[in-house]
Amino acid sequence: MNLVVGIGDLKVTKDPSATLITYSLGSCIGVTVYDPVAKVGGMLHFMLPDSKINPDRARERPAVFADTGVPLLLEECRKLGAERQRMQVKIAGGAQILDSSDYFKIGKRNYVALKKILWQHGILIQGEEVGGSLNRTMALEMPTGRVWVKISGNGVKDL
Amino acid sequence: MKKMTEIVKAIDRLPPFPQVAMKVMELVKDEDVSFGDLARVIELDQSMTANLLKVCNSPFFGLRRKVSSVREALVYLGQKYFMEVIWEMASANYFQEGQRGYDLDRGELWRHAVASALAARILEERLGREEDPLLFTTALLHDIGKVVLSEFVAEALGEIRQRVAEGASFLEAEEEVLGVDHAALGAMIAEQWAFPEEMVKAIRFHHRPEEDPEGLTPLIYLADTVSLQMGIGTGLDGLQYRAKDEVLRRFGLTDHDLMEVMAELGGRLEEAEALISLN
Repeated sequence: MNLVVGIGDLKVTKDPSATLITYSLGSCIGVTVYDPVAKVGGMLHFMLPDSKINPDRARERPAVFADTGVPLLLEECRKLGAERQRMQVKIAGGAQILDSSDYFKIGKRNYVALKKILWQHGILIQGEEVGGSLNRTMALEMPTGRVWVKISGNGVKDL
Repeated sequence: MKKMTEIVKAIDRLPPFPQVAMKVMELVKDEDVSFGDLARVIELDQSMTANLLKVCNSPFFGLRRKVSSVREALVYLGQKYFMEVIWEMASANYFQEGQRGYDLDRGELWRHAVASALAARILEERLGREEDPLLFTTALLHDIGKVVLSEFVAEALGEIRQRVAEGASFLEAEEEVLGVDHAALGAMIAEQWAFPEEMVKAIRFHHRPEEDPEGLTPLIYLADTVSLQMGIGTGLDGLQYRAKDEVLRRFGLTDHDLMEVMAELGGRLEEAEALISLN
């Protein structure tokens, strides 16, 4: 069963038959968490690096921003029995338009913010498919923990 | 350029643009227009009338009393919102089907159209500009060229991607391989539909805002870029379009402003869900 994660949304599951999937990552970034022992999986599709951009929106939808979404994702996974030491974290997205200078580097800003937040939580990124100018779909298959990324028109790649 | 002739001919397969929508836009420009005059124009079109009542009575508006006439709809929506809804109804059909050349599923390009129109409004508000009805309608239709070009892109995809790999933008590659890009083709369609000159121009240059710095184009460019980055209706062309910093600089906007627009757009899209699932 596909559990679709929308833009600025997150989902966690213990359902062994589920696939967490998110479509159309442009400059947004998808983050998956998988604990192979507890068989817990989670996915976040955040849009922007910092909740200071719009604090009201962050209260309404914390998953829109990296700094509010990532801790929430980790916490929700923990509630289902996942443990930090076992968490496998993979990420995809963070694209930008061509010739981007600082003005349009939102994908890059998302990536930098995410790495910092994960580092603060003592978590290493185990696989990534980021940057460039293409659109991506990301999925986490339970219970194997397989994470794949589909790049529009470029086939599927395992992370 | 046999291909190009064939592509231009394919425009004729599009159903003509609903005349009522054009008429409403003309009437709304006149400040003294009466609700009665506006209502009469819509009433001439039965399916438009039926759709309008359906939209007004949808749970989105949460009305306690049923709207049963065009006049009531107008009183309820107000002139500006009325025109937006009419244009959304007139445009939705063209975008609904998927565009396989761009790897877009059913409804995705329509979502992109509505998101861009909402983003254009947010930008307009931020810049403290007076509301321009043309801005909304142009943003809604800026990618109409993709609807026709899609099947030709599908046929020539290998070659187009080769050009992109060599450093062209997707737009440049379309033009190099097919003789026309989706923006130029969109402008031809807009011309055939007798859209106002400003609209035609902004559709033509929506990836090259430097060609029309004073018109609607720069805001359409930004609105489009914002929704593309958010992945709304972003196809296999992805973000392979060129960044134009000078547009932001001219408006005195920064990347921070763009991020604020994106955050706000997310919320407005949720509110507009009922309009997106129109038809």
